[in-house]
Amino acid sequence: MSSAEAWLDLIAAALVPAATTAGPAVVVHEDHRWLPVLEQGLPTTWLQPHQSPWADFHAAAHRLPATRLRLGLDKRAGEALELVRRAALGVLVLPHRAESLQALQPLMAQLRFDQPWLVAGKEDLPAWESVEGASRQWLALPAPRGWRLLVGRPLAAAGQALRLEAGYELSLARRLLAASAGRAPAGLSLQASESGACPRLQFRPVAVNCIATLAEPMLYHVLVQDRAVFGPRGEASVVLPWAGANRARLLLRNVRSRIDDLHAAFQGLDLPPAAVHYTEHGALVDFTFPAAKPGGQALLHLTLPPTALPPDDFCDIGAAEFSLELQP
Amino acid sequence: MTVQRPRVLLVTFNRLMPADQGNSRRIMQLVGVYRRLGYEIDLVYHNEEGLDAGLSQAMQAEFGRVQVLASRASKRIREGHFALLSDWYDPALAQVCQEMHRLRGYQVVHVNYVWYAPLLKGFGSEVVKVLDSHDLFAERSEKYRRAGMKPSWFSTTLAEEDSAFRMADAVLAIQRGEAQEMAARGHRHVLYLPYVEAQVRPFEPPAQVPRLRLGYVGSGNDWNVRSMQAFVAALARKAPVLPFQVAVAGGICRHVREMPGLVNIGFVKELGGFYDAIDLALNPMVGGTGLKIKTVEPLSFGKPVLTTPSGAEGLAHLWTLPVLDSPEALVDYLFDTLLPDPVGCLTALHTQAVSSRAALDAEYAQQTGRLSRWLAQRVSATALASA
Repeated sequence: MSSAEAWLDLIAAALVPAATTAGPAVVVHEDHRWLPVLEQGLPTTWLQPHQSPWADFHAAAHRLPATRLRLGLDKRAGEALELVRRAALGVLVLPHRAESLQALQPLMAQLRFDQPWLVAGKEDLPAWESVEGASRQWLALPAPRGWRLLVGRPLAAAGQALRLEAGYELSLARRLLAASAGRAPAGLSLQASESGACPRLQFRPVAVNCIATLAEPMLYHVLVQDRAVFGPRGEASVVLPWAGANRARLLLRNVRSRIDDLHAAFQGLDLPPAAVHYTEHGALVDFTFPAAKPGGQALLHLTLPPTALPPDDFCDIGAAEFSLELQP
Repeated sequence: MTVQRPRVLLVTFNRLMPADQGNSRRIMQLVGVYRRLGYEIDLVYHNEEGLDAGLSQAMQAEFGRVQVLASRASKRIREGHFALLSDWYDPALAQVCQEMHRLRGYQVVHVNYVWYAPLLKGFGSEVVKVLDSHDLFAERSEKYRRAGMKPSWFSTTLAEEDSAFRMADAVLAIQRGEAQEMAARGHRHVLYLPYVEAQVRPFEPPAQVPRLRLGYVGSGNDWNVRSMQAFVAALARKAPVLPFQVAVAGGICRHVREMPGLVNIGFVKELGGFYDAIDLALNPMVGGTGLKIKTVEPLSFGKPVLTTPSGAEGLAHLWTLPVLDSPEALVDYLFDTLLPDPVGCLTALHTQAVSSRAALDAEYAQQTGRLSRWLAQRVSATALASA
């Protein structure tokens, strides 16, 4: 699993203090994404080429969750361009797919090096040609391996102050987390890998922050009950942080029976649980993810066996934990 | 490319759907005004009146973006029955609203009731700040005491209320008299915006009246209880068995004693059905604060209404229907004027109702026009200043 987008999240969050205008953070990505560290630092809007059918949620202390503000350029282009202009901090992750690039062109044409934007992508992407003055006016910062990272002028000084080094490693991750200290989400921790090779980012979000739904009635149940609920037929989708994780552990509460035959899918492939443990709090399900497709959806889809569903309530995700090896 | 519509952030503790309380209906009136002016409206529901999936769905359908925040306001009432703004204001609102402003970039923030005014202080000059007062709350408890009633709900000092008004760029008054009182207290940024509902049914005077049917619908608040008890006592003194039917609906039914001819029908789901079933509406108020929506509501459903000076407060300059001095005088009118010639009397009342309604509509159009022009001017000015 590529960890470049997790590095990007840490870098963007560390740049939040340099975001001086009153606008939101704006993340442009061709796929459904969640950058939890940045989202914690600034109210965040997500722009995609096409309006996502998925609704997901952002919860904060003392309030009920609200849906994440996700706009598709196909449906709400005017609003999206207004957000690009208002962004206190923008993150553009360059698209892999040609049709995404075409859809994002009007937005990319608005970007100028004197805006507080951070542009990132694999270095061999054709989309780089569409970023105005990419090779000259924007400031290039050391990037994760195989990636390229540019920042606009308002972020240049803050970007240099981060002292990003080629060969991203534990000390850099620590420094970035420290730079966003106080704004990093609770439940995020950085651990030295047991093998000593790569640091590991471990994240235990509020469960409702990582549930997504296509079904409108479920949307209201999540909004009102503040629970990461499965649908009445036992279906749920989990938003993975970044481009995905290496491992995930979910606590599925309120299941009535064993769920060894739980069906899970990730990027079109079946993903059987690596392990299921039964506890007094519910079933703990572990997943180990294969390498993600570049530009693929970071969504894990689950279907519980019908026998596991309670007759007069919903199953829910009581807790979630994701871990990701931070490769250089 | 579509141009982004300007946005309003609306903050309320009221359950807006269904809008079955006067204050909810007033707020939805303003929602309609903003929408007609081309604004997109976002909502912060400061949940004090409950939440369920149905309400969540209705709010999501009605508003651009919705955030629900459980109220943690202490709602302290101090000795002598008064409260400071800070006793009822929930400081947690500020962060939520500021985050929404970051995300959505509002041109207008609109709060309801004076104790929400401190929220406006967090917005800069780039945002137009509107406070809908709904009522005057300074020394409100005194009005209760003078009527021999125990004070209830929010009451504050003149100084506190004045400070709340100063936090807004515009204060909306629902009654002309309230606007005049605010102006007399030195406030020069008051806009009077009356409450008028859309005309749901036409006025159709009855060709015949086999049995006269009168109706009252209201909540069980202290003033309504007191008013209806006075009215029912006057009815009972006049005739132990009524020669007409009085239908009473709403929360008031818990407080009204039935008698032959007077029936409590409880909560009505559709107001239209209630008004369709009566010939004449009654609002025998003996006091109260704020606009008496029950006085103007029947006109929307094509029914004339009989009320008292208290029920017609704020409307007297437009009102051509009879205003009876007291619940007792209202009862006298029913027996002495209406009962002997119901068709003739109702026909005359319908004519007066049409005229009152037309005057209300004309004033509403005029005042909405003022608000629209003021908003357009202010929003443009702030846009220019921040460009």
